[in-house]
Amino acid sequence: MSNEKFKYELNDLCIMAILAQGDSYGYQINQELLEVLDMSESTLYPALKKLERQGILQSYSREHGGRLRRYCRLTPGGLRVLGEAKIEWQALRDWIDSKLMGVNTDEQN
Amino acid sequence: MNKTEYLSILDSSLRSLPPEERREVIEFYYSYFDDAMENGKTEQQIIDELGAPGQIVSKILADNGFKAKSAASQYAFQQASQKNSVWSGLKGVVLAVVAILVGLPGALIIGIPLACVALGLLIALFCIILGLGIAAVAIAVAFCIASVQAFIMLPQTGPAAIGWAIMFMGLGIFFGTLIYQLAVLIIKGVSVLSKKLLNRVEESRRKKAVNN
Repeated sequence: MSNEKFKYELNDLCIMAILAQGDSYGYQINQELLEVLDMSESTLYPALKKLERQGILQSYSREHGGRLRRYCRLTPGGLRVLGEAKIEWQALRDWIDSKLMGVNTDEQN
Repeated sequence: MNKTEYLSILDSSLRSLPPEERREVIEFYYSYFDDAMENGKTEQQIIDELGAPGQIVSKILADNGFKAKSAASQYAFQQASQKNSVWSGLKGVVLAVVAILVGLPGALIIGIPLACVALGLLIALFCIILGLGIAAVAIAVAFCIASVQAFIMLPQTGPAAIGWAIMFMGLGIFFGTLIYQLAVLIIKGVSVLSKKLLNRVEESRRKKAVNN
């Protein structure tokens, strides 16, 4: 079982997960994020830009209604990162759930 | 705040970014507004969704290696959220003139020594006025004391001495306020100048990093 700690910002994990379902653009991504996250502390453009700089997503322009819309696509490298994040997320989620439920489901000790 | 103000705060606060990136940011948020309004959202709802422009600017500049709170973003945000009185506008002009006359020619074109000379002259002027002010206040106090004594001793000389005391007191107050205003000017002028220098240093350092 992986001993890797969860090292992602929830924001970034969600953006990766959203893009794994298909290319998307700023407004659409934010709407999905707003379903579950309080975005008051996070900022959309910087978050996307950071993931682009890290090679996790790629952006391209496509015309929509006479102007250019910026789309984001998850790169193969980004998909790999998401795979690792998924394992770490599940470990974190189980850990928290066990604490919350007050029952220790840890099989190792 | 409306869409135009929001976008223009972003735009003006990101002046220190390379033009391509700055354009990318504005186009991103411009697009966001368009898409959101297509979906029936109001400008206010959209602004609430996106969050404060200052926050976005801080993050972008921080990611670009600038200090988190740049003077520019603070200034732009304040400009949009405050109602500017004529007086503060005037003060701004005076400060800018003082900073330009004292600091910029020396520091940026000719070199640091001339800026120091100019600053030295300003400090000397400040000290002269301070000295005069203190002297005026001291004389006023002395006259007051003397006039009180004289008033008690000799009714004839008393009132005249009080007149002198009041006059010197007035001089003291006048010089006092002059010193205060000058002190404010110097402090603000120096801080504006130093921020300008700091930004220029950051700009040239970043340009070198980008070109490498």
